[in-house]
Amino acid sequence: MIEIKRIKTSEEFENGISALIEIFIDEYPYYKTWIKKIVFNLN
Amino acid sequence: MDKKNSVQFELGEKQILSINYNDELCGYVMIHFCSDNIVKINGIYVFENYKGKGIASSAMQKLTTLLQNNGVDLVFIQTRLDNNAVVHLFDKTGYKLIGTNYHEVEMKDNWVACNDLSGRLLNITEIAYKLYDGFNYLSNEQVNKIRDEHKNANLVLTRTKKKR
Repeated sequence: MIEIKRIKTSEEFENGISALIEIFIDEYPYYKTWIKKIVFNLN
Repeated sequence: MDKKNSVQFELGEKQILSINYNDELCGYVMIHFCSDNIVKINGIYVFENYKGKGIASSAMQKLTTLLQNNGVDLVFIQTRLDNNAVVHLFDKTGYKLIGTNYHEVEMKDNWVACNDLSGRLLNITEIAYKLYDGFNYLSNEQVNKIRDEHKNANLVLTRTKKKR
């Protein structure tokens, strides 16, 4: 059974960000910069 | 994380959600509430060892229902023009390709797809123009033409690989 859950802890959050960056980095080289920008607001 | 974005995550405007299959973590999805009733899916990822089990499709359906039950009218998502697997996932889960947008840094177009959950908003194209820089609305005919072009491109690539 599939469930969608909101992440609550900072550790879960960091793991989620890392996983999303890792998987998209090949397909979208800019994704790492982009995701950091939207999450961490880096320029 | 800077204060502004930290607050956005705390308020739930931006969220990372886990995808769980039989209580096991098997992926993540990131969403962005552009307003109370308009959401962008910024990325969905199912771990390699869980692929091929229809989890991405089920997760998309589950997420879409969850958003609908929380009063969301429109959900937008993007993918690369030649990512036929994801385009097929959009087809299966009710997301319609409505146009493209040009990514200036990567210098390529992406599909923009939308799922109209309520039918209440009539200005979907206008909303897409506001949400995506360089958005280009496409008719169904234009969408199908581009899909065909990319399907053919993939076939050529497959044949080339086989010859080697």
